[in-house]
Formats: sequence, C-alpha cells, structure tokens
Amino acid sequence: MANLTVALDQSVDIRDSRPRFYGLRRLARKMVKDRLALFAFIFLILIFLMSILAPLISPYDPTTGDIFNRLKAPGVSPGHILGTDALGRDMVSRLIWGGRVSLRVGFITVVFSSAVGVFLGLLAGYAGGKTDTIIMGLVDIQFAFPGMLVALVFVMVLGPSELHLIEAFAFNGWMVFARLARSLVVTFRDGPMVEAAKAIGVRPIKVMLKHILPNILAPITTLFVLEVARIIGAEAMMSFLGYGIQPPTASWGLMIGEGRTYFPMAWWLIIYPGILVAATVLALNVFSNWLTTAVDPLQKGQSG
Amino acid sequence: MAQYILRKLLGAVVVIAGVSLLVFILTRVIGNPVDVMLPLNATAADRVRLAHQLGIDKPILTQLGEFITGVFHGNFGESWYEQQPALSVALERLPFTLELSGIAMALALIFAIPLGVLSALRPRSLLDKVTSTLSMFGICVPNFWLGLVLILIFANTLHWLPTSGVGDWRYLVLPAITMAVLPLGRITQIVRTAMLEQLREPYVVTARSKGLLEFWVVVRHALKNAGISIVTMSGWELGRIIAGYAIAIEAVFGLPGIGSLVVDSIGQQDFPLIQALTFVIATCITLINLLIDMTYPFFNPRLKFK
Amino acid sequence: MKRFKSVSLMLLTFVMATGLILTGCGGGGTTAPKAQPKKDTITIAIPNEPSTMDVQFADDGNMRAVTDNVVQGLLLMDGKTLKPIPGLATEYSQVNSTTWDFKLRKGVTFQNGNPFTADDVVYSIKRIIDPNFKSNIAGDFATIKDVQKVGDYEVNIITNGPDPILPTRLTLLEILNKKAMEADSKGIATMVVGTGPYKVVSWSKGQNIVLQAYDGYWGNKPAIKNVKYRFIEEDATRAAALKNGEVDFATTMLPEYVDSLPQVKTAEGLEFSLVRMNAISGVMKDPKIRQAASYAINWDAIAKSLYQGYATIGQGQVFKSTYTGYDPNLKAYPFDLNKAKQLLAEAGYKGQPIEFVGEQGRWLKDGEQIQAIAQMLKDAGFNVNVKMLAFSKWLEVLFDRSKAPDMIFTFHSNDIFDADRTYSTYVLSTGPGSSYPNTLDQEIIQARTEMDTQKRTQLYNDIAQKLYDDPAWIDGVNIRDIDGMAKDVVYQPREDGRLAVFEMSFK
Repeated sequence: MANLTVALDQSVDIRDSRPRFYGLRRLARKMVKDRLALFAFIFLILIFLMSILAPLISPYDPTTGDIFNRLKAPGVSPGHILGTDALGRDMVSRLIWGGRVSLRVGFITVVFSSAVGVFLGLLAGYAGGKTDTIIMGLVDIQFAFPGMLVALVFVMVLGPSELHLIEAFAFNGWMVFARLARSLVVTFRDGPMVEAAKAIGVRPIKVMLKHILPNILAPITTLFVLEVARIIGAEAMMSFLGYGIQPPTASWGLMIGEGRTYFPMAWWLIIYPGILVAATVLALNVFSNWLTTAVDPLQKGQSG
Repeated sequence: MAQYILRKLLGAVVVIAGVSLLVFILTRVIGNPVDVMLPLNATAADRVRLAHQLGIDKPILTQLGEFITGVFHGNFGESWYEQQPALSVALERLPFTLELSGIAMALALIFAIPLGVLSALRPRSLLDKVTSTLSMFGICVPNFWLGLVLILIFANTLHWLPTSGVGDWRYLVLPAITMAVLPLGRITQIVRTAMLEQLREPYVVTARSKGLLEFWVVVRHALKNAGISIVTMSGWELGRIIAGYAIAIEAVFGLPGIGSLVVDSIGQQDFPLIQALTFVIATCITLINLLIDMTYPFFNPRLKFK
Repeated sequence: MKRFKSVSLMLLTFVMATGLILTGCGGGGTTAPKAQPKKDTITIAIPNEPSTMDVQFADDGNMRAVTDNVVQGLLLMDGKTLKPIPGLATEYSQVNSTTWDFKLRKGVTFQNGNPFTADDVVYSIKRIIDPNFKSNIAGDFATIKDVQKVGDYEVNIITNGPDPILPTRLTLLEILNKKAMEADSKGIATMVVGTGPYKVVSWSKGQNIVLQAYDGYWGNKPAIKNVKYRFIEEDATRAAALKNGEVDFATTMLPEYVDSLPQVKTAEGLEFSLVRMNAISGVMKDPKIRQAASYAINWDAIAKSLYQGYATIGQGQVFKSTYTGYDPNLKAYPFDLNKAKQLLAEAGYKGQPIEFVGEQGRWLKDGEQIQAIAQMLKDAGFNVNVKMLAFSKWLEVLFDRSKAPDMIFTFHSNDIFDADRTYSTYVLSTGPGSSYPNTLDQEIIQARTEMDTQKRTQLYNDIAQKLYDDPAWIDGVNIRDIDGMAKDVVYQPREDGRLAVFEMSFK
C-alpha cells in the first residue's frame, strides 16, 4: 500500500527504475524529436536569459514610472509596447523583472527543500529503524498539512518578504523529496552493489553519496523541476493575496494583485503576467515529463 | 479492521495536534494583534489594557496550557474580532466551502473519468492529444487568475453571469468552474495512466475473450481496478481545494466560505480564529484521507486491512 | 475501432445525462419576469462584512455603514456643516467647566418597543468608559469621567477637565437599550437595538444584512422601506455588480470607474494622506531636510493624475475649512525641485539612506500614492528606501516612538473635526503616533482645555504656523468619497463620511 502511494505521488515507477543520465548528445537528439518538449525547453531558456539579463534588456526601470502616463493600453503610448500600469510604469520592464523574482524564489526554495529532503530521505532509507520511523512520520504529516494556510500564518507573523516566503515554502516542501529519496534508496539499499561496498568496509555516508545518490539523481531532477513549477505558482498566489513579494518590486503574482482593481478597464494589467505564470509553469511541467521518459526508456509508452 | 481504523485515527490525531501546535507557536511567539484592533489614536495605556484583556501578556507556557485545556473542551477562545466562539465562527463558514468544493469535484469527475478512459483506449489519437494538452493547461493556469479572467469575460463583458457573492445557482457557476479546472486536469491524467496500465493486464484480455460487452470490460474491470488511484487522487485534490485553492478563489469571488475567512483572520491577526481554522481544515483533510483508505477494499478485495 | 465507438457512445450518454440532471437540479425553472411593483428595497454594496454590531466596541467603518442607520447618540452630526445637532437630547448646557447638562427627548422608543429614558443613557456611557470593557473606541471618550441621572429625562455628564469638544464626541457615542442589554449582553454582537430610523431584521453571515424601516421612529420616516447590504471586497467587482444591476448602490468607487457607472455622487471625504517625518532622531531631524521633502512632492500630479481630480491638496495642514483649528492664512508648500535640492545642500545631506515605511490596501490607492511619493523624493535627491509592511506591522512601527522610521505614510481621518485629534496624535510628544519633540506640547494641552472658541482657534493657528516651518509631516491630499448608484437613486453623500440610507430615496 505504501508503495502504491509513492508511485502515484511521484509518477516514477520504482520497479522499472534504473534511471541514468544518458549521453548529452543522445538527450539532445531526443529533444529535437519531441517538438513540444523542444518548444518548452526553448521557452524556458528564453525566460532564464530574460531574468538573468533583466538589468541589461529591460527598457525602463521597473519601479519608476511617469504618473501622467498611467494606464495606457498596449501600443497607445510610444515606447511602451505592452502599455503602462497604474503608476505609469512600463509593463514590459515589470514583466521582465517580475520573472526574475519568480524564478529566483522558485529555484532558491527548491534548492533548499530538495537538499534537506534528499538528505533526510537517504538517511531514513539507509538507516531504517527508528530514524526511518521518525522522519517518515514527519513526512506523513504532510498529507494533512494545510501548507498554504501555514505559509500564510508564517508570513503574517514574520512580515511579508522574499526571504520569509522562501522559508515558508521550503518548510513544507522538503517532504516530497524525502519521500521519493527514501523509496528509491530502499530499492537500492539491498542491491548487490551496496552490499559489496559495505562488505569491503566503506563507510555508510560514503556508500550513500557515492553509490546511491548518483543512481537516484534522475528522478530527483524530475521532481526538482516539478517543484520549481509548483513554487512559482504558489509565489504568484501569495503575492496576489498581498502576503508575498511587496511593492514596489515587481513579481508576476503581485502584478495580477495590483492590476485587479483596474482590470475591467485595463485588461493588460492582469492578462500578461497571468499568461507568463501559466506558460512558465507549463513549460517546466512539459520539460519534467520529457525528462522522465528521456532518461528512462522503459517508461516511454506512457507519456504519449 | 477495528485495529486498522484505530491506528489511522491515532495518526490523524497526531497530525492535527502537530499542525495546531505549530500554528500556536507561530502566532503567539512573534505576532502582536493589539495595534490592529485599536483605532489610530489609541494611547499606550489602551494598548496595555487590551493586551491584558486578550490574555497575550501572560507567559507563553501559561497561554499554551490554557490553549490545550480549552481545545479539550472544544473551546478555542473567542474570536477577537467577532466576539463569538472561534470554533463556531469557523464551522459556520465550512458548509459553504464543502458545498462549493463538492460541486467542483463532481464537475471535475464527470469530465475527467470519461476523458481519461477514452484517451487511454486510444493513446496518441487526436482526442488523446487534445485531452493531454488541456489537462496540462488545467494544471498550470493559476486558478485565481483564471477566476478573474472568467469574471472579465462572462460577467463584465457578456453579462451572462453575476460577478461575485452568493445567491441562486448562477452565482456558483464561475467559482465552481474555476475550482474544478485544476482537479480536472490532474484526475484526467491519473485516470489515463491508470487505465493504460490496467488495459495491458491479462485479466482484461480474458474478459474480452469471454465475449463480455466492451463497455463492461472497461467499466467493471479496468476502471474498477484503476479506481484506487482515481479515488486517492480525488481525495487529495478535495483536500487541496479546502486547504489551498479555496483561499484565493473565494477571495476573488467574494464568497463566504472558510477560505476567505482564512484571509480575513490573517489580515486581522485574530489568533483564536486562525487556530480554530487550522484545526477545522486539518481535521477535514485527515477525515477525507481516512475515508479514502476505507474505500480501498471495495476496489480490490484482495487488499485486507493490516 | 468499433470497440472504441461503443464505449465512447455510452460514456457520452453518461456525461450528458449527468449534465442534464445537474442543470435540472440547479435550474429550478428559468427566472420568471419579475412584476414591477413600486420599488421599496435598496441593495447596497459595501467593501467588507462588519466584524460585529456592537457599536460601542468596534472601530469598524463597514459596521458604521450599517449601524449609523440603526443607532443614535445624544447628539447627531449635521452632514453638511459638521456641527452637532440635537438627537436623543433636545438641548444641552454647561453647568460649570466640567459638568454638562442634557435634556432628553421624550416619547422616543427603541426598536424593541422599550421607551428611551435617562437610564439608557447612564448605562450606555458607563459601559463604554468602563476600563474592563475592552472598547476599541474608548479613546474617543477618555475625557468623560462620570454620568449622573438627574431625572427620567435629564442627565449630567462630568468630564475630567474642561472639554470644549464634548458635544462632538457625543455624536459618536451610541445609546443602547439598558433592558435589552441586561437581558442578553451577547446578542448585540449580531443584532443591535437602537432608536434610529431602521431596525436590523437579519444578518446572514457572509451573505447579507437586512434592515427595515422602524415604524415607531421619532423623526422623519425614511423614504425606502427595506435595505439589504452585500459585502463585495474587490473594488472592480463592486463596480461591476452595480453596472450589472445586482446592487443599487456601491460605496468607495475609484475615479477610473466614474465614466462607466450609471450615476456617481461625491463628497469631500475625511481622509487626508500625510507622510510623517522623524523630527527627533536620524537624518530628518534637521528641519531643512523636512522642508526640502515638503517642496519635493508634486501633489498636483497626485491629485490630478493618480486621483483624476478626485482629491484636494491640503493647505499647509490636514484640515478642511470646516474643522476647528483650520488656518485660512496657510498655503500648501509649492512643488519646487530646485528649492528642495538647495535646502538639501544647505543641510549638508550626502545621500544617507532614508527609510520610508508604507502599507497598502487599507485606503484608496494608498500603495500607489506611496510609490509615487517615493519616486518624487528620489528625483529631488533623497536616497529613499521604500519598505512596505503588512498593516499590523505598519501599525506597530507607526505607534512606537523609539522605532520611528525616517518617514512613514498614513491616512489621517479626523472624525471629531477638531485640530486636537490630529495634534495630540501626531505632534504631542506623548501622542501615540508622534515622532516630534516636545516643543509644542504646552500649547496643544492649553488649547485642548480652552473653552473660548476664539482663543482656541488662535492657539491652533499659532501651532499650525509653527508646524509649517518645522514640519512634523508632509501634508498630503484629501481624497473625495465616490459613491456609485443606480439611475433611480437620489442621494447626496455626506461630508462626515457616514452612509445615511435614511436620506436616500428612489425617483
């Protein structure tokens, strides 16, 4: 029963998993064949470049505007292709800088949550016994864990800021990684390779890092990408509600929240940031799906 | 069986207690609601007095003790803002959210199951591709944003449906659709995956060779066996609606459910109410999980409760 | 292929059947064309649901939008002149500097049928000034020491010291029915009983509040019989509900909506924005820097563009001309970037960081105003860091003198229309929101207890003059209240910000 739940949750089938990264060239060839994945990948590269190069490519300062030139529709005001917001700030610039914030929150959060989660999962799976029971007991709480509610309370108490947002998300994001890492470890733990390593007296920590970790890297990467997508969505929602990124900083969710008051007469304020959130999350999901099949040929039939 | 249920219940109690304790620590250690409740011209003396009235000037352990004793009597204290028992304020809002999320889940299932089954029957067909793409979109579109866009189109522009609030059934259409989109996407995917797996199993072939009507092969055999995954996913989605999606969606549509109460109580730093809400929401999710566990033997009699 | 078809057909039938059942359940027949009897119900959309109906407990504008039509004080406020007029008291006089005598109106009944007498007044005043009753508005009545019954229709109110604005304070002190309160002290949270033109019929939590005209009302009967309040938080949605005809009246509209609404009426609101500056520590201690900040803001741009003309610039003070203490000789600081830069140079400002604290979502376009101000300050050479806080955190900062940031944005609403409210909050060195030295303390305290109106005004004008040169804040704009209403509603919004349904009627 426990195994069943895991399989459902991660969409990674444990029985078949001998996942390994193939040569990069082979991956690239596969990517070109799958047009949807290629498209998603290119989109992601563009969003990444846009975020990294924001200071160079953003046409205006995202936080300063011309108050006399506010709420201009796309194309109406020269120099503002996607229009201006309620303070006369350039929409293009805010979208570019907003993506930077969303991606930053997504990645930093998941770097932390995956590091903690994978470590604890490895520990639980490898050590077994009481350690396993305690760690997995914590993980099981996650099912009844009103994550969004706790994140809201957390941010309310500590005050909304990017750092607190990351902390709140990482706080309840590590469990999925722990669960996955543990389930993978268990299948390897008793395998011949680890047995052999143990037999010749290699220390447990070394066994975990050298022999187990590389073998489970592929499914962890897939989950990493999925989690980044989830956190970007969650950041948007928290910022939309006013408990995330604070003005004057731009974030896609905050832009939707700020534009809400004006959207009947200024649709562009919410339509563009919403599309960008959806597209980024979509691209990350498609990419993650593709990664699952690309590194694990046995699953190919399943993802159509 | 009884032992199994007992163990599950015990686990549920631990979870609810853990979440409640966490929220207690978060709110009482750092939060300060006094200023929010007083007018801008209140004096320092006003502040001290109110803190005393609310009992937040006591040592934290005393507060914790009082809190725990209270909980055992079903008493979470009075909502500081509404001046009524916090638990009943929270429970008052629950039926609405349950009703709305029930409708949304029904909507999601009605479409997700047939779409998922058909896609699994014809993998890589046009229908499958369209379904996969749409369900992917459903998963990725931020639902609070979708709600705003639907209001913009159907209420503001076309005037077909009301903008927000409660009233006759027309008021529920947009919120229910908004709420259903994400579960619809997820469940469609899980139905498809589970059905694909089941249809490959030998028993399906046997059933077909016995000359059973294809509809019954699919529904009675394959779908029933895929049922565990479908029910599990639906339960999780229902939990996610109550503890997550409802917060933003009810705020967008101005609905009197538990989600909008969460946002309000957090804005007002109404500790007892936040505490009661956490309790109610965590209990809901645990109960749903428990119910799901109970249905497993129906789908697969071989699974006995351990 | 055949297999697929048969399954799809059956599943499709299943979907359609379920769909039909669902619509059947929900439909309950199409909406029948309504007969058009004379309209006697008005539906009003307010931003939020009231927290309670205990008018003596809460400080809640949404509650007042409802209860101002249900309960009344000894004195009422004239919506145009902002002067107290007779209410449940017909006349009043001062016995000595701290004792006031009130003659009560006879023949008034509460909405539960009980007659109104001096006992109700004594009960109500004692309840609100009782330190054990955690009233959030007790501060408004801090000067009241005691109340004594003189006869069935006469009471004396005793103040701690001379209090020239007691009558205005009493317009905020609602009178409750002693008998009803003693029978059920908790009931007031959901249903308040008063002497006003409307009585509360029902409150469906999260949905609506219904009022009905009270037949036994002592004054002029309201024109509209039934009132239904709905709570729509989103400004845009509230406007859309009005446009769709779901409601007849929507409060707090944005200037941007005006053109698209069926009918709009405005009134000068009570809210003044201001940027409090730290005059006791940090970079802004130097008055020259504070003056420079005053020159740096283009309030005209904010009033004309951000508020589209629905805002008036404060004239060197955050008072309207009707307030006691208004100084007609003061003029707003002009927008003068060069002067600001010159003052900064004179003060030797070298770009030290200046913290500017704000919040957003509490008042109309507050967040946008803050960001606009910050940008203008930057243009003048201030190195401003905006820090947006959640409302509760922002309040903590506003009220902690020891943690006063260099600048903090707030809206100030003076609901007793008297300079004392403003000065004893933001200037008096012991005031809750003050980051100003004690240089004006004596004058403020003196003015507070001065019974001679002429002399008081003189004192306040003197304070205003000094504050102009050594500013405690940058005067902002007074934003207009914009109410949207259906074409057939007749109503003029009041200057005191109250929503008076009893003054509304249909064409």
